[in-house]
Formats: sequence, C-alpha cells, structure tokens
Amino acid sequence: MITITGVTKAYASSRGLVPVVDGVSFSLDAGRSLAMMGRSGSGKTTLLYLIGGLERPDSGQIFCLDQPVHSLTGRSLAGFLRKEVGFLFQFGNLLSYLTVAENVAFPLRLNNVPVAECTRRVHELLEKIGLASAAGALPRELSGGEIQRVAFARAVAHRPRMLLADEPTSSLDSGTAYALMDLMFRIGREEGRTTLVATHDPAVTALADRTLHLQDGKIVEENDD
Amino acid sequence: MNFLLWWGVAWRFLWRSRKSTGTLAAMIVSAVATLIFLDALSIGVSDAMIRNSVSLVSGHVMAEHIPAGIAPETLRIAGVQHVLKRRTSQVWLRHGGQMAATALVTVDPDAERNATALWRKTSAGRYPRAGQKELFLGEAVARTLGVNIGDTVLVGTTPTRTGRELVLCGTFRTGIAPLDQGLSFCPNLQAGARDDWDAALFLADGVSAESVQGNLRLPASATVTTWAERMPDLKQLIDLNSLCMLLVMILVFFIVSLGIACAFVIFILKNIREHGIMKSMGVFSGETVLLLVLEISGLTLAASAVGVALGCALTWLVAGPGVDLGALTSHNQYFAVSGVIHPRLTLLSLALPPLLALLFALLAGIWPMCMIARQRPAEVLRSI
Repeated sequence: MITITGVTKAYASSRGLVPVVDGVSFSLDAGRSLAMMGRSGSGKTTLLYLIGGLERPDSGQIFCLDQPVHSLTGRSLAGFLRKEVGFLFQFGNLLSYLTVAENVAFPLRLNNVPVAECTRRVHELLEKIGLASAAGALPRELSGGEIQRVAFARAVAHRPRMLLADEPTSSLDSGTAYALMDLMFRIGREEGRTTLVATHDPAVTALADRTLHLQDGKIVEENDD
Repeated sequence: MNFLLWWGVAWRFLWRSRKSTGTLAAMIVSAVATLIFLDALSIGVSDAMIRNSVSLVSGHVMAEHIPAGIAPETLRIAGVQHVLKRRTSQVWLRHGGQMAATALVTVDPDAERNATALWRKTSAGRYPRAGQKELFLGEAVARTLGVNIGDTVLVGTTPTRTGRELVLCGTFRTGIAPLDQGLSFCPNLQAGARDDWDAALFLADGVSAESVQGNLRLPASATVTTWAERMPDLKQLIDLNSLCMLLVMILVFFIVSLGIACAFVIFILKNIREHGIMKSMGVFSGETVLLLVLEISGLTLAASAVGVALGCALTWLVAGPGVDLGALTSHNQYFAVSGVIHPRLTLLSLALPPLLALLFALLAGIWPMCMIARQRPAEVLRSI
C-alpha cells in the first residue's frame, strides 16, 4: 500500500522557489499499477523520486509498504531501496562497466542472494526479455530497446515489492515500447508488485490499473479502470 | 558489507576503463620505479663511501690490544670475510739528516693485498713483499725524509736510538692526510714483537659492523671499534645522504601526487553517474567509499608492483657494471679508491615508494570520495 498525503517539493532557482510537486495526495493498493501522466515539467519524475526516497519532500508524508519514506535517511533508506524498490530509468542507466548479466545480478548480490540462485534468476530474466545470448555484452554494445529491457530485468531481479519507472519508453519506438510495457505490467501482476510509471505515452495508461494526470505539480485528473 | 562483491566491481571498473586505468598506472609505475632506482643509487653512494674508506686500511671493524694467545681464527665469526693481523708501534724514521714520526704497522703483505686497496694507491715503487725488510711509506713522509725508492731508512723507537734498517720499496698517496702522513707499513715481525696485536676485520656486503662488534668475544683489555665510531664524519655524511634521499622521495611523491590526485579526481568523478545509479539501488555510503578505496588501492598496489619490478630490473642492470662517477669524485677522500657506484636495493627502498604511492593516492581520493558519498542520488540522476 502506498499512501501519500499533502506532499510538496520546491526547487530554488533564480526566480525563487519553484514548486514542482504541490500538495499531492493519493493512495494505491499493494499489487496495483499506476500511470502518472503529464507534460514535461509537470512533476512526474520528482513525485516518483519522492516515493522512492531519492528526494525528500518539503512537507507531507509518504508511506510505502509500511515505511515512512519521507523520514528515512542513511542506511534505513538504502536498506529500503535495495530490498523493496526497483527503479527503471528513462535511459536505462545501466552500470556501464558491468556486463548485461552482471547488471541484472547486481541487486541480487547487494541482497546477498547466493551465487547459484543469482545465476539461475539472471538466466531466467534474460530468457524472459529475450537477451540470454547478450549476457556477456557491455551496455555500449546494446541498442536502446535492449538497454531498457536489461534495465527492467535489473529493476525486478530481486523481486522488489514496488517498481518505479520514469518514462521508460520515451527513447523507444512504439513497438518496442509497447512490448516493454506489456512485459513490465504482466510480470508485475504475476509477482504481485506495485508498479508506478511516470509517462506521457497514452498507450501506457491502457495497461495500468489507474491513471493520474499531473499539471504544474498538482493532480488534475484521476481515472480508475 | 560484501567485500568480495565490491572487490569484483572495483576490478571490473578498473579493467573496463583501460585508458584511464592505464594512464594512472603509468604515472604510478614511473614514479615508483624512478624512486626505487634513485634510492638504490643513493645507497650505492653510501656503500661506495664506506667501501672506499674502510678498504684502504682499517676494515669495517678494528680490534686493538688483542692478547697474543688469541688466534685470528677466533675473530672469524659470521659475516667476517677477512681478518688481518697487524701490530702497530710508534717509531721515528731517519734518513740523512731528516726525521719523521709515524705509526709503523707490520702486516702480512699477501693477506693485505687480498683484502685492502692501499697497494692500488702506490705512487712509486711497489707494495712490500713477505719476509723482506722493506718499508712502504706515505709519499709526503718520503719527501720530508728526502728518501727515494731503494734507499735505506733507519727505524727507532726514539729520535736518537737507531733500531733496524728498512729499505724503501714504495710510496703511496691516498689523499687522506692522516693516512698519508701518519702511517707506514712493513712486512710481519719487522717492527719488533709485542705481546698484543691488532686486527682489521673486513665484512661481507650488507653485514652490520655493529652486530659483528657485539658478537666478538674478546677480553676486556681489547678495544673494538666500528668504522662509524672511527669516522663519525663519514657516518654523519651517510646519515645526511639518507635523510636527503627520504626528503627527495617525499617531495617527488608530493609533486607526482598532485598529478596523480588530479587524475584520480577525474577518474572518480568520471564515474559519478555509476555511483548515483548504485545509490538509487540502495548502495550504502560506506559501500561507495569501500568501492573507491578498493579501486584506488588496487590500482596503486598493482601499478606499484610493476614499478617495483621495473625499479629492481633497472637497478640490477646498472648494479653489475656500476656507474662510474670517477670524474666527479677524484678529489674526494671518501672515494679514494674508486668512483664507481653500484646501486643496491634494501627492503626499505623497495617498500617505501609503494607505501608513499598508496598514501598519496588515498589522500588524493579523500575529497572525491567524501563528495560522492554525501551526494544524493537524485542530484546525480538529474545531471545524467
């Protein structure tokens, strides 16, 4: 369960404090998926980072999976991130010095998963995303679509209870994007994962259980399936 | 913390960014190798000064007033290569109307030629032969006496008493005034027998004169001195040389470390993206610091190992033939015999440069490490 109450976040700029997330409140049941729609600068990414604990809110409360994310710091925040959260970034953000298999294995190794189990899980995921033959390749050898698929596999490798995806399809063609989203939501449902996606791709909303529309940091529209 | 995981990640970061790693490693390799060779050269200079100073006459350790009942073999303990038996007496030399006071040392000419280098400093005539009533004299004293090779010199214990007659077989010139003007030599038993005798001990390379001094078992009446006690000026010069070399090492590494520091800062900041991504995956700040420490120390130690090997190889290549600095040392009393320097390695000269490299590399990494450890992942991710 994710519960967000009156969350605000502003950044200092030459024009003074610019509110990016402005009094956002909503909740999402565990295992459900949510698409956050909005134009660039509407606050989607910041809200996603706030929910994942990568940013701290100026005010308001964020409870994710019974954790007060708004007040987590240091080791407790890092522990929350490594166990409970998977991040899927806009451009994949794979670790460029690790191979595909090593990237996918990284969160498992962080969580002290035994090597044999690690190898089995990596193989299983690479099979699912159709990149088993690229296990030894470095990220620079992959296409944009392949990078995003590997990034997805890495994000879910340790079976986090929450997946946060920040515009994961913005750099992909529509066919590749749809295939990735389909994979993400399908595996999310199979594993009972709560999934939040920041996107401006309307096609994603069709796959999510719920949609929020953001504008200037505020929720302006909410749709349930 | 999973040390093996972080060691594996550090190794992959280093191996898969070969250009940066190679550039940094090359700087460390060249600095370590250069310092090892310079230090070996500095030790070689000190060795040459000691070797030159002790090899003329005195040896590394000198024992005086040894009772006649003690055999020279008693002094041949571990580390001692040669034991030269001598007797010294104060005498007056007379020739024509001239007189000169000197310490006359009776020696075994064959053994002396084998262990000392004074015979190489012969300026006229030749070194004495065993069993001959011959005298080997400093050139300056011979000039004072007005004596030439083949002339007979009267030897007495007082200015007026005439004892024995010795034939001048040769003169020497070392450039060391106390030696040139204060000592003369004749073969065994030519200067009169005494109960006690003296010994000059020549040690193998690297053997401590102080340890041999401590291990000799002689009666209290005998006095044992090392070259450092007899030549405190040389000891000070060598200590000064070592201190200067240490300062040079620290200064060179301080200067080199500025370059290494810049390269490390660039190397670490270049990977700031990776650290931001890892933090968003729940990597602790301590693990980030561990990763950077492993990268820095792994790279520095590996490069240092190559630098040590290179420095050793360079030293080994030069140590055989030596470096002839004769043109720069010909008027220096501490290089009276030879100006050839043979670089020598010690454990300290091998260990210090890598340790300095590691210390300065870790110091160079502190600022970027702190910066990355304290940075919030969102700041990094937004900047990608």
